Amino acid sequence: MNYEVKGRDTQERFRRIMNSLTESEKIESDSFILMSSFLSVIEIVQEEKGITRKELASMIKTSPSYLTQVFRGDKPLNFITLAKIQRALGIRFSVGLKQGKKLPTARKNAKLEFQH
Amino acid sequence: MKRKFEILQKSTTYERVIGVDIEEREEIIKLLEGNSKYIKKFRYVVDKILEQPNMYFDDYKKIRLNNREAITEIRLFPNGDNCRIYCKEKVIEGTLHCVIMAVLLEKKKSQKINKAIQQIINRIKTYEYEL
Repeated sequence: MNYEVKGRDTQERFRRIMNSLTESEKIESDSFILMSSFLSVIEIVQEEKGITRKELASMIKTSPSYLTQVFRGDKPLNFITLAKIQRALGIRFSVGLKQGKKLPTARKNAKLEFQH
Repeated sequence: MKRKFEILQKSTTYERVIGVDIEEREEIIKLLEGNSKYIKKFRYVVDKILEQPNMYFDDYKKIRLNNREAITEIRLFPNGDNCRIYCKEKVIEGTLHCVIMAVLLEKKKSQKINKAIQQIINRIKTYEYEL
């Protein structure tokens, strides 16, 4: 089935709306999206280790409500907090570049990996 | 009930798309148009749904009704608004995971699922989406 053709006008309109932010707004928005990649990994590790957000907040001596705001993309995650989380969960982030847009599997396309 | 939807954006990483109910399209798109706070939040939610390994989080959640997972909702809170977009998920041809925005509720008044929301959920549950 050709998913591309159907709804092309709506897709274009949607794309324009998503790109209608000013340059500084786009950068701010992109920074939250970048942060989301780290947060997704943190969520996976939390789930694996059975650590709740409240427990994580306590481990890094911050409030659960602050972490909730961070996970919702309402507050920025700074590198100090990220380093505290890394240490608390016993993981280590390593960063890579996203390659092309059409790599065959998600794994090869991974932007961010972590080690236990 | 048969309903049509259109794809708005495809994932560059996974077999996922986000789409919109054709009958609700204008209302949902108009909410975003010209409102940078909504757009910023929506970009974050869309990236999470399309590009992150775990698409569910605080602002894109499954709603349980009578102890069963019924539908999903996108939560948008800019300006203190309590806006929800109720969604239905569908898998096409066994692989393509579609998140379809079905109904917009601009100002949800309580945190609980009241009768009106229950009616929306029950309505969406009956939707059978096709492209």
